Amino acid sequence: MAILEVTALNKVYTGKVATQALTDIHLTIDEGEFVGIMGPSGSGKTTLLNMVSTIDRPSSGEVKIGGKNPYTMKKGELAHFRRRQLGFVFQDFNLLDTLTVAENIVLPLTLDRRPLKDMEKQLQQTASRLGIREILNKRVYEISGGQRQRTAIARAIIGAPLLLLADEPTGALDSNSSRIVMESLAEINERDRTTLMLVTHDPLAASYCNRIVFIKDGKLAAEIHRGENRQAFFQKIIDTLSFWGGNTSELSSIRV
Amino acid sequence: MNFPQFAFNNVRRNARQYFAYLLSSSFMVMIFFTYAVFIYHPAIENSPMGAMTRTGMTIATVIVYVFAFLFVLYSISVFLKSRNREFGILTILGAEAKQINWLIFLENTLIGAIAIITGIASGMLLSKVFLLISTKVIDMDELPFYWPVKAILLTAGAFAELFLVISLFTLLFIRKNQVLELLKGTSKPKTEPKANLFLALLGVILLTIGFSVLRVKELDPTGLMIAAFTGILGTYFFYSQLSVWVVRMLQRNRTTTWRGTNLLWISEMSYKIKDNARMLFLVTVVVALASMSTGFVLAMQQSIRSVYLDNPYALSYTYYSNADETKVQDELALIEQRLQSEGLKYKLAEVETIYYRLSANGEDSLHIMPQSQYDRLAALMNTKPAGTLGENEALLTETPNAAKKSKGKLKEADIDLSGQPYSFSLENRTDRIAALVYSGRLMVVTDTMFEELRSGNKADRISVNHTYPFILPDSQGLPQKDDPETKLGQELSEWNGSAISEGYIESRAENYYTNKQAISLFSFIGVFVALIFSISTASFLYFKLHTELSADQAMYRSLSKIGLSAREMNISATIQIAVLFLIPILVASVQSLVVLGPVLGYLDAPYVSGPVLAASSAFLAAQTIYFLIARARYIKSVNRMMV
Repeated sequence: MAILEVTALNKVYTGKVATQALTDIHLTIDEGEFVGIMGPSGSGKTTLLNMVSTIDRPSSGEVKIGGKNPYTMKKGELAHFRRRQLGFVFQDFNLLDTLTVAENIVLPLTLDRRPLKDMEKQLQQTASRLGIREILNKRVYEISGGQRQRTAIARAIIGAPLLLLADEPTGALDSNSSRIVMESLAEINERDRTTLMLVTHDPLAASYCNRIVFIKDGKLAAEIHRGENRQAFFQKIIDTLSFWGGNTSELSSIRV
Repeated sequence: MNFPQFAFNNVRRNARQYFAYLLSSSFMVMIFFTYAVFIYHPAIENSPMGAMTRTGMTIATVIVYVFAFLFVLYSISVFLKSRNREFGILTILGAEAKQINWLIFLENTLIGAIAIITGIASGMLLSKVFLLISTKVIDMDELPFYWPVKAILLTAGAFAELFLVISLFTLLFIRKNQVLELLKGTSKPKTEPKANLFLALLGVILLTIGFSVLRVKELDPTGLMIAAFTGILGTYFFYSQLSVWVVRMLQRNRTTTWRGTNLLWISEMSYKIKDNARMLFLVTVVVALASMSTGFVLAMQQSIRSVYLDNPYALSYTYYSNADETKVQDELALIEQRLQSEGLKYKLAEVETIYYRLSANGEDSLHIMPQSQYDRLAALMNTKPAGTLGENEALLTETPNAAKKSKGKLKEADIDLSGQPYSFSLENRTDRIAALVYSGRLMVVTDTMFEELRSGNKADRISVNHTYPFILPDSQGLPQKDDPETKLGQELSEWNGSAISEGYIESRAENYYTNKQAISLFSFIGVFVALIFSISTASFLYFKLHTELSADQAMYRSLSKIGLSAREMNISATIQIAVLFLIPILVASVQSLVVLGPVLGYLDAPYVSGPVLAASSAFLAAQTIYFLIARARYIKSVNRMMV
């Protein structure tokens, strides 16, 4: 079953100079898929993600999440839709300094006025899956970047969303934290069959996906699927990137 | 580009960022200056004014200055915090700590200079407007505008010093931070105020001292100073301790905290707890002062009004028993003739009273009157006669005003006029008849007893008064300036001494106007202080919201991405703003009641709760309007950032 259906999507930024950010994008993500979106800077990855995240309206075309078009909803309804059906993970975490780790995680549930017992149970489950139980009572400024991102993931999945959207989740992390974060995401995808859409620059992070869609200059450029071997998939990503994005020599140093 | 140029350009090109800070500083200068213009006004400075009023005004001046200091300190700390990144970058580029300090110092001097100039300029305008409004409100002649050299010098000097001291303070803010922390910006909360038993107790002790100083028998200016100092300090501890305690309580209870938007606003408040406690404190003290001065004015006015309304006798003519009978008759005829020529119908009675002191200093006194005369007055006014009295029984009737003051009802009285005391048991009553005598208290005894008392009093003839009260048909409400009663009263009072010299004329309308004139200056001061302080609380809060706006916008924006609806943001923001605006009003009302009671008692004005409640509700209304405006603007700007 398709969780996300994007049809004939166009986005034009009007202004002094109109910019065609996206041109005729078609993308379908099925339930349980882990799809990566890659492309060079300025290719339109983030624009696409924003439109799927329901925070930026497309110029034309249609976005359907779980069969519903979020852009036909009223503002309040849309906020509820985001809260219940979508989970977000951002590059800069977007956690509240004013809240403890635990409070940050349960925030979407409290806004929905869930029973306290329910929230406590969900919190403990989610936190232990992401290995952040020990830091639940700390403040955000007291924990490391990796822990912050795992907190953000916990917040995104605690409401069991239909679609989890991640925007460069490893962009601000060191390699070890990146690995832990990506493994967490992959585990969530495998165990809960949560559908994931990941926007990233990082080939290593992208190698955790099942399928990668490449965008260049606002258009779909290529699509590759992962086989059994992550190592080989990583190599394939590098090759595709250098074919579509730049020159191979630039990337030769990270050849494995 | 040398360093001073860099500092200058920094301010000039970053105008938007500096604007809030500049505006709030300039605003405080304006408030202070307006106040200074007023206290150095020649008409105020040269006016006869009690020590109490002078002390009150000095306290207000100090408070305005202290608050300006705290407020500017607060704005600069917020302002510098928002610029941490900039300082971090400068440090990385190799600026020495000394240079950054110098930069801040130069900037502050520049902003201070601009704030002083613009503040004084706008203060000039505002003071003109305020002088106009307050003179209109209390219906007195407009105070002339003057060139306030003294006020300018005082304001410029005081604030130049303030900015200098604050520059030094800010160096302390910056110095302790590491480069990394500077670059990372502002995620760390300010340290919580310490909730400790000692400080809480200290607060309670301070408030108790303030309270009991006000309650001592003789209130003097020193007492008022002490009460102001301890009260204000106590209020600070009250807020800092209580807010920590309340927030802790709220956070401990997950059932309420983890529910809807509660989590958001409770955590926000606990994060900003130090700033909030300070802000609540500042606003409370300022609102309390404003509502006290308004309450004071209202109480004085009500007191004067009630003296008029409680008095059924339009005119009265009183002479002592040593006066010349024939002259008295002539003067009475003169008064009657004037009344007739004005076409006023009147009823006349003749009354004899004996003045008697209950306490040695004359503070507690009454007038004795025979029953037959009381009954005649009662008949003229259609009220209840005295009834039958035994030899040792008396009726004690008091005016409403006197009854309010005497509180503990007098049940017995020993009258000793000639070395031989008579004891009476008293029946208490409140009516307007007693307004005939200035003690406001009539003791009605049987006619025979009155004769006995009077003949025993031969030695002291002066305490026996003859009074002729003139009763006019009841007029409605307060006298107008051109009512015949008012005009005649003023005319006869002027005659008193020339044409009428044997007796003493009293006119209630003339009294009313004289008293009203006498308190008009008080009223003016009260209204003026209230206007200034009310405006300054609004500005405190508005600038607080303004300085925090950009951080809040960013927060709500990221929350809206994960599904916070506009309505939920609205609830969370409204609660936080409402707490800041409205809680101080409640606390300030209680404080005004506590403080004004004894102060007005000192001035013999028995009305406290009515005027204070009226003043508080007026401030509640004003504050509610400020709240609605500030909230609407805040929510509008946050809403723009919601996706």
